[in-house]
Parts: sequence; structure tokens; C-alpha cells
Amino acid sequence: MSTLLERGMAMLARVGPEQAGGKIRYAVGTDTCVLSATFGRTDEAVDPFGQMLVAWSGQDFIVQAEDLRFGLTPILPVNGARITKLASGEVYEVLSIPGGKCFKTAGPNDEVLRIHAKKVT
Amino acid sequence: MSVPSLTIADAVVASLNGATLSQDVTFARAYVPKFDMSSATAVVQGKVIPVSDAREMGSAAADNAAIAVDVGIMKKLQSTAAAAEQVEIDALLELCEEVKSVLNRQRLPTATGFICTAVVQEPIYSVESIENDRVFLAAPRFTFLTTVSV
Repeated sequence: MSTLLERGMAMLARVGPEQAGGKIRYAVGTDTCVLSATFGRTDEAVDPFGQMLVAWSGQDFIVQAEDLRFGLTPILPVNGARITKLASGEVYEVLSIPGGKCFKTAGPNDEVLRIHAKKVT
Repeated sequence: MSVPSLTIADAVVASLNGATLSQDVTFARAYVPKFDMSSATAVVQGKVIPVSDAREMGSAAADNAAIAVDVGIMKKLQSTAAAAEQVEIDALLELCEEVKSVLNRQRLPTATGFICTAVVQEPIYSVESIENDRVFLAAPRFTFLTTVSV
């Protein structure tokens, strides 16, 4: 029997993409998979390099770990992967948070992935 | 009265845009040299900004001036494999060398009163930009000497 927390996580995972997200395509080279994601926190910032500035816009994509797979093979997010929002066509690149990885896990059994990405087109 | 730092920055832009370079890039002078990671991702972006203007007495009628200009070169890296990324970065460093060869030790056609006497590219590129954003960013600094009437 599932715990209250697990049932709550499952409900959020089901409702989140409908209410605050949509379908995305996750791609590494020619390998792709389409899955539902909740669109998480967005960031905009400017990184300095000497006199130069690099402006970027970032977003987190919250997905069910079991949905992220190429064919039957479960995968984990990797730097350089491309995420496309199917509704808008916006493309993001999976990138590490400085000093960290490109994703975090959540949930009692790590069943949720929060993938960090920056907009590239 | 003309502003020497703007004169040389505009001359740098004209010379670089008129040169034959190995990659397609258009340089523009900017006061706030901001590269947008989400626009023109496959294109090299180039910015030229005046950085400093140091003067000392040269003669009764003129100061000697050393004017520094940064040339920013940025590109969102397209390759995902490590080996291909290295090739892509190598090509961008080659572009930096081409920019140096256009400017270093030169009197530019539209600013013949200036001569480039020093080039500093330190760091050679931004490690943080590659690591955090997979963006190549380099900004070699060129120092031009001229005289300014007082």
C-alpha cells in the first residue's frame, strides 16, 4: 500500500504537466523521447567575463524519471541534451548548475527529476 | 571634438568587417557588450568596445595616448561530443588569431594616426562560459598608441 506522501507525489506528477507544463521532446543526438513535464522555475541572468556579458534565460523541467527513456532504456539527463517545448517550439539545452549536476532527484524513491536547462532558440 | 577611443573602436570594426576571416562574423561597436545566448546560436557574435584611455604629456602641443579596445568573440557551441567540441573551440581560437593579425602592429585605414602596439588575451577564453553555458567567449585587448592635441 502506498503512503500518503507517495499518493500525493503521484497526484502532483499527474496534474502538474496539465496545469503548469506540457509535452516536451528530450533529445541527445538522434535519440529522442516525448514526455510530459511540469515547467519549473525560470531564471534570467547575466554572467560577466571581463567587460563582456552573456545573457541567458533558464528553466527547470520536472519529469517522471520513468518517462525519460530511449526506447525501453531508462536514461538520466546529460549536459548538452536538447529539450523542445512542443507547443511553442522553444529549444533549451540541458546544462549543469554551476558546481553541480544538470538535474536533481526528488521524491521518496527519486521518482521525479528536475532538469536544469537554458534557452538556446 | 572627436573622441579618440571611439575613433579607434570604429576603425577596428571597419577593419575586421572588411577582412577575410575563416568564420562568418559581423563586428559592431557596443557600450554594453551583451551576448544573448538564445539568439543566433550557430553564429559567431563580435563586439568591439573601448576600454581605457591613458594619456601623458608628449610635447607642448600634444599628449601621448594609449587607448585599449576589447574585441569580444562569442559563439554558442554546437557540438555535443567532446572531440567535436575541441575542434569547434580550436576553430574559434584560430579566428582570434586572425583578428590579431588584422590589428596587431597595424595602422588601420580609417585611423592612420593610431598604431596597435600590444595585444593581451588573458585568459585566452572563459572557462566558466564553456563549463556553465557551453559558450565560447574570448576578449583579446588591443592597445593603440596615438597623439592627442591639447
